[in-house]
Amino acid sequence: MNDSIEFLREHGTTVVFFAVLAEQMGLPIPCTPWLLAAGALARSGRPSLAAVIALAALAAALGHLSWYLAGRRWGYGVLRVLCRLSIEPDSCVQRTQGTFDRFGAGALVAAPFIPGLTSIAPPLAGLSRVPLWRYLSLDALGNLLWASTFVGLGYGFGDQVTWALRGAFMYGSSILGVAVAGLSLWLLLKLAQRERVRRKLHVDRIRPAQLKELLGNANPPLVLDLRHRRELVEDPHTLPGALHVSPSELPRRHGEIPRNRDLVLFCS
Amino acid sequence: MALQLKRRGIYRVRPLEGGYAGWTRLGYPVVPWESLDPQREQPIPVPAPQLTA
Repeated sequence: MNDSIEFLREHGTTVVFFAVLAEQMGLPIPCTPWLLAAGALARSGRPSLAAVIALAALAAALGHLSWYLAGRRWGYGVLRVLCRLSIEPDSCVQRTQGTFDRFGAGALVAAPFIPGLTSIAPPLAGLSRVPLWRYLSLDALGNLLWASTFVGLGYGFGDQVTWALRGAFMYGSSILGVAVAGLSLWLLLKLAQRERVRRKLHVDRIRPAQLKELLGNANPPLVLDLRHRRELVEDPHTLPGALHVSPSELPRRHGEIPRNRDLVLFCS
Repeated sequence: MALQLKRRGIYRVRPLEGGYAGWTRLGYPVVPWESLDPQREQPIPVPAPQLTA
């Protein structure tokens, strides 16, 4: 047990660096416990508090930068891949765009604290063509605040964290078992929820071939293009006869939608 | 979005399977999107009433 703590004292900064990098790259490896632990151990001066914060912020910046560059290179494809894991991929894309529109590039500062947004904000900044220097400075600020907060919490509550750390090393396998069981249960619930929504929507979906045929009829359905305006600027094309309506204005303007006409919605 | 509209009483609504990406992947036609005024809302067209014999 003491060996493990000694190992962390010796290699805490390296462990924090790779844990943060892995999590920010998208791997399901939680880095917060490592930040707390490194903060708690930094009370004794080893590892250095400043080094832990700096390396955690640097690792986060490197992880985010890869997503930012992917967003710049591949545009909405990256966002769609990231959102594929959510319950409703379409609304996931729209929701994250909405957050970015509301807060602008400043969302990058708050993003590390908001689960979900932290992995979406960098590619969104990339595809929104936020200038690299602006992106790097805002992301660095957010990363520094985030790393300082969690490492600082570990430092402030050092005794409690060290106590938990000793417990984790002593009952490591049991704690890991409970954590894995909890995570599996959460994943199962998420999958069931996703399946329920998917089934509900699935019966109502129209296949592209069906729509193509209907568009050639005398009484075609009303097609609404719900993609974000930014996406249309990137690829200024739409379906024949489609009307572009922003998703945010659709609930407000639902009164204008004719009830006696078939409606087909599409987004990215 | 489709569910939101259904909750508001618009039942004849269907999302396009695969979205825009699915449509273009099949090579189906697209037309240039013309943004006349990005700030202006486009009116949602209401069909003309049908005459009955």
